Amino acid sequence: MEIDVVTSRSGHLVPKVEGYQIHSVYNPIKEAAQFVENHMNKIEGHNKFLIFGGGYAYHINALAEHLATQHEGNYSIFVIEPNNELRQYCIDHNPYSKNVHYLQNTNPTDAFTNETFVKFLIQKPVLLTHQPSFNLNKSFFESFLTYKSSRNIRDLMGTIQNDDFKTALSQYEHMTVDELAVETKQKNDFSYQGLLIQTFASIAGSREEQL
Amino acid sequence: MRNILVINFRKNGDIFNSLKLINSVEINDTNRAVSTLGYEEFRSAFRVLKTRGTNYFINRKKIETYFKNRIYSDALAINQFMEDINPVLSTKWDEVINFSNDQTGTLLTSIIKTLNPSCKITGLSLSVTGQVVYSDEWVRVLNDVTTMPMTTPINYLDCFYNALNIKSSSALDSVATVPENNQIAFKNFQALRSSIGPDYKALVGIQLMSSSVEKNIPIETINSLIQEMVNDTCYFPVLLIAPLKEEQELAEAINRSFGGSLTIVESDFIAAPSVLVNLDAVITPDTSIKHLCDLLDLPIVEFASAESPAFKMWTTNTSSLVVRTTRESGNYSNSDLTSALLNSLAYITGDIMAKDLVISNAFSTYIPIKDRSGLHYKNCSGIKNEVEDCSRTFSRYFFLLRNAQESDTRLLKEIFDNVGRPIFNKWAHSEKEKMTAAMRTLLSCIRNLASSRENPKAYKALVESIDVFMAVATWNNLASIPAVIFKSRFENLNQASPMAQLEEALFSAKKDFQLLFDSIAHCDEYFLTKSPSYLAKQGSTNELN
Repeated sequence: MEIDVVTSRSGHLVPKVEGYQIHSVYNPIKEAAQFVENHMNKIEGHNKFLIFGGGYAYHINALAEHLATQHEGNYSIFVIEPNNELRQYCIDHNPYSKNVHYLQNTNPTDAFTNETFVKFLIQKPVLLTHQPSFNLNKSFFESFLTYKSSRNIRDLMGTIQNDDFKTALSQYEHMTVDELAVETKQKNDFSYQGLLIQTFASIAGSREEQL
Repeated sequence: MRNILVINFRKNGDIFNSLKLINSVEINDTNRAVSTLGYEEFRSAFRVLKTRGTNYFINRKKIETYFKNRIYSDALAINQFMEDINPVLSTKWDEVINFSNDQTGTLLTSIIKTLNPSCKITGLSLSVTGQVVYSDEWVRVLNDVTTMPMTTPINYLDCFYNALNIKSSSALDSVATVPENNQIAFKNFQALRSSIGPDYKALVGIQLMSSSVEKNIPIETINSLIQEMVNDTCYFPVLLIAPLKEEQELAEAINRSFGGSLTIVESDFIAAPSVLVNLDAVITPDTSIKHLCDLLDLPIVEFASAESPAFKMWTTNTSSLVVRTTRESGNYSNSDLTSALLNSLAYITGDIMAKDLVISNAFSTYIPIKDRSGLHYKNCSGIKNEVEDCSRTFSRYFFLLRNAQESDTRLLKEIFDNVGRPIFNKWAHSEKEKMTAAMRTLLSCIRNLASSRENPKAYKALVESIDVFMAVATWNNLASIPAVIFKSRFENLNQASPMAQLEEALFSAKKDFQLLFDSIAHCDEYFLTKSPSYLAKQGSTNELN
């Protein structure tokens, strides 16, 4: 994507992607403050945020500034910006780098197996959308929102760290973990590896209840 | 140092309960270091006891989140699972006590046994072919008999003490507290005692909530209790709450109705021991705080609602008292319950004697008694259920005879004193009739087993007769005991030699029936020695001598 950078009337740089401006060409700082104000009902009382769209990070810095006054250093923001150039700009100009992180993975499968990102996600952050960025990359963000991980064992093997468990799964790559847990029980596999699978299934619980 | 792992995947109350066992295991042998394995969400409960070992945790909620949410890869759940259990699996355990005996605990125990076959197991595990292995007969009582609705002949913890062949000991000195919390609590309670003056005999904690509404002491009763205490100026009420919004709001609402004059103490599990040791007694429903009081040897009045399983997890402190109500005892008024709780409080604080403990017939009170065979509960006042008492005490006698070869005549005396001969005779007659009927179905199984050896067509009759006998397990009387034990054996027949094991299980059930009949005969003989004619005869013989 072609990016032009223009200077706003307030003197701040504003990227234009394929001719589409991501921030206000009048005053992006004022617009960023408005972004925080507009989302205040979602922001108050929370200290973890996932933001779709980085742009040149005016809205992110405004949010970080607000959170710093509310929670001191105890807050974190993860930003997903699919455009490499914009993301790099944000990383290079990040005054809140201790608390604001930019996800490097632009592929949902990689993102949802990124340990740091996942540990952040299970803390149930508040999702805020930077609308101009979202509109520009609608299909990308929608793929994040509707992403479903593969349940086939063959797709898990690269991420599983434990060798014993990998060995236990290696002959069953065509199955899911649920199917394997049932099969292990039915086949009366009470070997070390069979017991490992059954114990895991016993703790992880039944997925069907959730569906 | 022997490394012992106690696996407990149950909730807070059961964790506190297990701490008594853990402490007893360590105290009985200074060369033992007990570690624990439980779920991360109950970490604070495990922290209450000081042990020589380590506390390990499985973050079940995290594993479930990864596994059940479609955006995450199952690999993340597996990685978390292995990260949590690896420290446990890489330790060489001399002994594993499967305290929870649930599915996960049993599977993990089996993994450890597979990795280290010389590791001693107490509790349930699985054989290489998947059959449930009971480490001994006490574990069978624990898992199959104490879960029957009719009775709890042997206390849950006593089954473990017996299985491990150790004595129970107080855990008071092993409860972990934070020195700063102790100092603050002591200072505040000293100030409270000074401010309320000498008229108050005792500071009494009132636990406001339990884990379920059905088990709670009704709010009206709590209000009446507090009002009575305020009027009487004998017991000073202290409202006990956890740092939860629901409990805070309830305590505030009660406090408002007393003009904001009440003392409310909020504490988590880490701070709770520091608070509780400053109280003289606690009135509580079936909660984890109840078990914590037991660990601290603090006397309590436990309200056992109809929803609480009777006898199974009641207070174990012999200075405490249980106020029980049942569905059969019908509705009770607020004043009845208030009076029952206050009278019971007067008993446990030493203000009245047991004989003066008068309560409404909607309730019965029970005192925990500890003797050389463990803990049991004696009906003290209120409504009496002679048949239940008889069945409970008799089945205790039976299991001590069956598993420990101990004929405890004190239990026969208890039946004689509490139930009396006429009621016992009627009960025994009815039970013998049912046992005879059940025995017939068992003998039919044994006959069919013999026939099936010669004629494979008789298998159908064998299977049918086994079904009939196993249905006895649901009868909820003495005859159910051999049937329940048979059922657990039958469901775990080894595929290698099922018929031989079936025969063994059937003959073992027959032996159990015989022992039940013998035990009733022991009662009869004991009662005979107490009969006036026998005593008169003994007297005349003595005179002649």
